[in-house]
Amino acid sequence: MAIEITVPKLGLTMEEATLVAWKFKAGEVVKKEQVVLVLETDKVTFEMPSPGEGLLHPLAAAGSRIEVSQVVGYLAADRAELEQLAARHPAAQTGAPAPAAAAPGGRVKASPVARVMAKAHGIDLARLAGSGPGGRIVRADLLAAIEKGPGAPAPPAPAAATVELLSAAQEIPIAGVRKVIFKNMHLSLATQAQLTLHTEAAADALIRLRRRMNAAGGAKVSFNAILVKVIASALKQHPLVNAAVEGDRIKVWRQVHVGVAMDLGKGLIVPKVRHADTRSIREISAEIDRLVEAAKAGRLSLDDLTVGTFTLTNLGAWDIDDFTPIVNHPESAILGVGRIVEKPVARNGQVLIEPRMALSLSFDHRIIDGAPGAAFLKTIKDMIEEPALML
Amino acid sequence: MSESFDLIVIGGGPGGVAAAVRGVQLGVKTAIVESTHWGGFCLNRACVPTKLFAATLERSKTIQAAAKMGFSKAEAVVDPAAVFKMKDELVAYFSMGTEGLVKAKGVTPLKGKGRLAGPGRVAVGDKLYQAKAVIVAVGAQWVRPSFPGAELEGVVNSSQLIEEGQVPGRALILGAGPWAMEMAQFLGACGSQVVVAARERGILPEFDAEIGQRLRAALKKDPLEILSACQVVSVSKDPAGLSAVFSVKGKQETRRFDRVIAFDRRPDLAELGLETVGLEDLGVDERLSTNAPGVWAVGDVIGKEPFLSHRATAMGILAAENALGAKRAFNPAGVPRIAYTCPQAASVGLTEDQAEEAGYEVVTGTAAIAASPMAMIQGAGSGVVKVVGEKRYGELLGVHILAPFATEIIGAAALAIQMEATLEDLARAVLPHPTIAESLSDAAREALGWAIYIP
Repeated sequence: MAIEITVPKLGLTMEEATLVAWKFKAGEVVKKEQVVLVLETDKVTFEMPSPGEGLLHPLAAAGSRIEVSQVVGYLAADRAELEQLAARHPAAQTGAPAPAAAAPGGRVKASPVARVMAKAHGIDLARLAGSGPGGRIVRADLLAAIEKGPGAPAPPAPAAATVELLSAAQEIPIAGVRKVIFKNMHLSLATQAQLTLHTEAAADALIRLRRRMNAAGGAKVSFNAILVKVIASALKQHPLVNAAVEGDRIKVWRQVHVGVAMDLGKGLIVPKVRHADTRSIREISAEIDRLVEAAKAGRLSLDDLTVGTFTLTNLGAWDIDDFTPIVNHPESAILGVGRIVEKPVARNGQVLIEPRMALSLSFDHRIIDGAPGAAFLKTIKDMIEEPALML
Repeated sequence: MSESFDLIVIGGGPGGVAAAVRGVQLGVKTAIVESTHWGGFCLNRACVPTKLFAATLERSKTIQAAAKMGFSKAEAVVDPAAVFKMKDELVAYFSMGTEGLVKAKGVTPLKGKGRLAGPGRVAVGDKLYQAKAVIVAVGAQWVRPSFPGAELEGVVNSSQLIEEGQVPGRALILGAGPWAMEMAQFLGACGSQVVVAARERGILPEFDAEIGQRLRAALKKDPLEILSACQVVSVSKDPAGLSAVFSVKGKQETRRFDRVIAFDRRPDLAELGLETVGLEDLGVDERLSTNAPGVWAVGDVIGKEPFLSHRATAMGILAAENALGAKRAFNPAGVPRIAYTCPQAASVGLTEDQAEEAGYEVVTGTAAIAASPMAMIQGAGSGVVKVVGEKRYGELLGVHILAPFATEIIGAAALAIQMEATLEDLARAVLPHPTIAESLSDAAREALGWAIYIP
């Protein structure tokens, strides 16, 4: 009888997770307690031990969303059972990094052209993973391998240790949220061509607007709420900023979901104000309050955390002015907001003291050229200085 | 609460049926929407009827050649009425078969006109269904030609001609693609006076140039006239039928016809509800995903040629798999093109010109079938098997055949291309003798410089 592999509930509120990767290929032998797959929620990454021993028959594809207690695969007792399972449920792509094409007998499955190419370039086929039908190594795999070159050169030998070696006072495991941040930040800078534009806006109209709204009673409206509204309105005028690269296409999103970066002591999280373009400032403010409360209580849902189209990061509370925010991949732009501070400003030949606020827009130059990026930032600045422009 | 499915396929033609069956095989609840006849354009108005015509043509050629083999009373006179009757029977038989297949496989058939009705929703008539993924496979529709007079009654498309069930006395064929040439030859064999208005300089423009040139030479004996680089200027009513004015190489000419037959098709996107999911067209990426999440498209409706039944089927299978989590790319290079002319033309992969354009260091090998014993036994002397390869790795890039049974032989070449075979593989394949297919090996050997049977 095949053993079911099901996804455990990793927290009170968890309802689903992403199956990040299978650690074994379909048909490989998995031993009990070996890490068989990696799950990830926005809060944690979990390496799941195998519930038993058997031949793996994965059902859910790597990268797919999984519900709690869903059967994501089976462990078959023997080949015959594996074939029965395969007939009933086709195996998913595991994307496991194991040398795919080398079958147990040592035969490498590769297309004729792939073999010729491997020989011509001195590439060992047994070390490649095949992307063709049944894990066959095909031309595309060779093209990728040739482009990568014969392997990175060996790192230089460490210099002779003539100084005292560093010793760690504390070792912090790179796991959970930190691991997600590691991956996302690196992915963002590794895949995008980012640059940052800086400008400054007069903040007196913004302060006045907030003061008036708060004087009218009800829950207090935050600067961030107004800024989210400004961003959503500006995105409507500059739709290309509200986009992401998927495959060989740029997808310009219809929805405007603005993430608000926050650090509540357990690392960076970016809950989203969904459909910010259709909500009023008060609604946005109430939503941000709810997200903060939920984040503090660890009750953010995946809906709150996933699928944003733009991000706001406000470092004003730490007396920061300009900075270079990193785009929240796969989004293509992020607005950094500095503190509101009184500064001398020359106007009409006179020096005035006025509250100012620094704005830093980082964006992916692959999608957004400098001038359209600047035009978007100008729209933001204009709306901050004259909120009526949002109407 | 509307009924919900994991996968809804809109369109019951070859692409849609394949997608729906694959969906069920992958274990999800699947529905297929069809408004008229199961089997789509292929079964009802294209592949099945026109290939019956091609078979008729083939038989008439065989009978004509029979005297050489000693048959004394063979006479190739076709009664078109009998052919059209047989067409109706075949279409009815296979259409019933398709509906039965859909049901037997466990797909839920939904009868009516299907359209997208917002993300995750499909409307069929006035009923609404939920779908986690939608595959659009509604095919293409006939397009009227753009010249003045195109709206006249005698200007018809291929389907209308087939439905009329009669062979016109004088026919003008617009274009020289596979269907146009097949129809031209069939009507010719049925006694029609046929003129082919070829837009390009040659016929079968999407095939390797050598195939078109050789087919044209082979057609010299057929009762049809081919006008190269010909544009129809206008068509008008005439007491005895239609009067068509066309310009051939800059000179205007007027001829009389009973029917002007058009073959152009384009997807009709107007009533598919694309706007409800934010789409303007059904262009797809290599995984057959449209720009709208959860919406996939296969077959002719994607708007990109070639419009072929077997391409739609292959796409349908792949789109269903991708819609349910796979990430596989569709490989257009492996799709064969075919023309049921006499002799047949078939082709897979890159033409010599395309390979040059793609920057390969191209090698070609050509085996004329006049050297093939089987071809000569069949009485077919004009034809060729041509392979296109590249020098660096010896990869086989394309195979082009003009010969009897070419549409069958090309299957082996399609497999070779899909499996990324080298010229060497093809050159050393042991093919049975005597067959026409064995020329494949010698053409590959010629490309490598060691043909055995080519002088």
